[in-house]
Amino acid sequence: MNRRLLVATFGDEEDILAATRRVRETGYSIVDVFTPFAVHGLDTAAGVKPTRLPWVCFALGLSGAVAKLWYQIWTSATSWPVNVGGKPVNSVPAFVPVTFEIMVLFAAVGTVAAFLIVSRLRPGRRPAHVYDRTTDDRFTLVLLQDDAGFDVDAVRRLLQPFGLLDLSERTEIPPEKPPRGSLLVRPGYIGALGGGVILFTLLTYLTPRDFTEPNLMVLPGMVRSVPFDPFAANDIFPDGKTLRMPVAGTIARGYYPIDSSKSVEIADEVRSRYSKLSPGERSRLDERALQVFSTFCQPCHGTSGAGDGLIVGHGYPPPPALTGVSALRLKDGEMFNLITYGRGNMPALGHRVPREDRWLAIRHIRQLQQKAVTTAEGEGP
Amino acid sequence: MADPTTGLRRPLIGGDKSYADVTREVCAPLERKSPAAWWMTISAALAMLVVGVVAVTYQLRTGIGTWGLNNTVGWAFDITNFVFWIGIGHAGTLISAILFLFNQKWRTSVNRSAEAMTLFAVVCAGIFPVIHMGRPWLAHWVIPYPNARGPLWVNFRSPLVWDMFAISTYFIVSLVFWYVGLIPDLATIRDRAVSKVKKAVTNFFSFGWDGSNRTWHRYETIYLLLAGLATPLVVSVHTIVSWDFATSLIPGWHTTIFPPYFVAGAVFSGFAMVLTLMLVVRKVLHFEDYITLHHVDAMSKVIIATGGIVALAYATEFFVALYSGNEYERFTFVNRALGPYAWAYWIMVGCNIGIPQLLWSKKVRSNVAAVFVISLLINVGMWFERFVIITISLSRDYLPASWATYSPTTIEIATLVGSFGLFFTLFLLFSRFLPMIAIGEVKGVLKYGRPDGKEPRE
Ligand code: HEC
Repeated sequence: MNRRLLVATFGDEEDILAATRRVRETGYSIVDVFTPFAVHGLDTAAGVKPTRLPWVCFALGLSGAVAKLWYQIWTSATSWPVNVGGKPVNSVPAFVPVTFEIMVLFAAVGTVAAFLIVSRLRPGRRPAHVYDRTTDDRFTLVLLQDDAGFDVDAVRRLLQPFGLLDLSERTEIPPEKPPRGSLLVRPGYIGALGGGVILFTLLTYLTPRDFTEPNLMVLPGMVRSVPFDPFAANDIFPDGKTLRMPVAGTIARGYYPIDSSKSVEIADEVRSRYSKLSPGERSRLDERALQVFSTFCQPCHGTSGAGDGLIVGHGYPPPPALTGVSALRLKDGEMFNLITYGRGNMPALGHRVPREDRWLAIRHIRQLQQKAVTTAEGEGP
Repeated sequence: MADPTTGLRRPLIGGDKSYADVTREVCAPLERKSPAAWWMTISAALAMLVVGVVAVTYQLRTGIGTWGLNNTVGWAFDITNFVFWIGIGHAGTLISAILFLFNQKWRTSVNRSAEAMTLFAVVCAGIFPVIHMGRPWLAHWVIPYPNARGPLWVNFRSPLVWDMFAISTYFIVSLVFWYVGLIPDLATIRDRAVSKVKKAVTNFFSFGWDGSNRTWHRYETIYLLLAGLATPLVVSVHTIVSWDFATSLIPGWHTTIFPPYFVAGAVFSGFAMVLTLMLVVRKVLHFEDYITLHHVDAMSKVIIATGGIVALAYATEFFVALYSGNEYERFTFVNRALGPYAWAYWIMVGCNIGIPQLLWSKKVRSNVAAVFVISLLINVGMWFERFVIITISLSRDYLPASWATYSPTTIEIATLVGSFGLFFTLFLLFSRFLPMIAIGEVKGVLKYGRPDGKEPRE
């Protein structure tokens, strides 16, 4: 059904406010008012019912929070429980921040979506009502000529004192149904809220309290965390234990593989690394090797490795010559382990001589052996 | 602040304008041809952006090893930049939400650009953690979606996961908030548009807004709701950012003061950035009547207040370190002030505590050039604050054996330059294509303090 409308235009905020108020008091039915900005008080002046969007916001925020809290508990405690630092799988206090964020996200985005839906705004939509300059500086009051006896001149006389700029008639197809009234009446909310507050206060007041006792603790996990007992059974893991074995091949800090067979490989690797060295680096290593040998080995084994060190002269059982057959047969890795853990009267030096230096000592021994062999050949028949 | 002769408050908008003047003047920069200065600045910004893109591409192809990080200092330049940009963003939300709740009418002239600044700053911030992942193509793994890996969920007890949720929520909510504010203004542009293309585009984006009172009523309601939601959100975001550090055990990070300290610092740096941008905008786009000296004054006061909180936080940290009797904590703070990075610490103290004190003087506050320089220095200082907290604390932890120093590589510096390029590019595009000032909101406070207007109400 086509509607006959009367369109009154004003140029100021106060004018439209006063005019709208007057028109409504006089009993005309207002279709809508169009303004370039939010004129405060115009909604009550035009008799617009308070929007229920805050309830949408509340409901969405609440459902977002509940859903996210559930989701975090479900993923962390049910779907795939993971032992994080021995903490309980269901650590609710740690779930608060994300719950809060999702609550805000749902409430904010949902409210705006609801706003766009109820206001019939969407991308690409053409404006439903076009009045000149309403988005610039004109304030437009649209009245419905609801009965045949509608007197345009009476309206003009009524609006003239409010700085009426223009009054025109229009016929229009009804664009939208006026919004339905609020389901709950406002005093109802306020009553319920007030009642709730009073009831809560009364209950709090009437509850017997003992101030010598600590407060009721909600989520005590923040104060006293209840981690898994390291040695207790635990059904999160297939083997039923809480403590985990290190991953195969893990080497603890400061340790390294001590397997002799492996050490030989390492020895080869180290040797190949040394063979790539430049002469300068090599002589630096030789110097270091000599230093290590004279500090840690010479007192027993002697300068040339013959087993005639200083302390042997004082009665220490003489070690075999490092240039001897048995030492020649020793592989680098075996020698490394021998230095590290000791053997017979040879003390364990692993804790005193750093790893690299032990390899260097071996290097020095090999050089001594080389020297001995060359000298022996020189002296030979 | 009422005028003794008329009993009126000081007008918020100068120049005795009509509603039509506001529309015309705010839309003017969008309707005239881009001036040469705009082309020059955007070229510079794009050049910076290209530098950043090249650096990041190289870093992604080669690996995180192109950064100066080591085993000890695993977070340095990138996370500093991340916290810096996020902090910048907070002023926008503060202006649009918190000042709205406090009914500070002067916010109307600056809130649009401040919110835009927030969005762009969050975009810049978001890049850093993603590229720091080293394999950004797996970035979606931080989202807990049902997957074929188990399903393996994220660890909801980790502050880094909280951070992901906080930053993404913050970005989305800020975007929505900003866009909702833009809809009526886009309708204004639509109704002014002459060219067909512009009309079609603005018609698409203005959602069919027609200025109906019913819509305005709902609009005002949701604006209030969004402000109410954004206020705790902005506090939560920087709180969670600070938890990235505070929940660890590194001396210098593991402190309960971090959340309020970070939030205050964020607002402090953000306001400095708003001032930096607004002082340029008002000059270049001739918005002196909209962004008046009164605005500069008010923002300077916010800077003094938040700067005071930051100074107090520095002092408290030091005191607590001393008072705790914890030797690691004590060492950390002495090391900050006197150690190898002492220069960074003193830049921070100078720029964040020393320089802002100049703003106590009314003379300085009303000198635009002085305020501009101060705002720049505060930004420098706040960048160094994050560097001090992150890098110095990490470089000297419990084990002297693992101490290490850090210095940024060219790639890292280029990435920072690139993020500034991105920020300014976005901001310049915004200044060219969208109204920098909320037309509808400014019209609402136009009559404020003018003899022809009524006293505005809430
Ligand atoms: C406290 C004296 C002492 C010191 C110091 C010492 N050794 Fe020995 N070393 C011995 C004795 C004694 C033996 C003989 C062990 C046995 O009875 O099996 C020996 C045996 C050895 C052997 C095995 C020789 C063979 O023919 O089986 C090697 C190789 C060796 N030492 C290397 C070293 C190196 C390298 C150092 C320095 C890092 C060192 N030792 C330091 C006393 C010492």
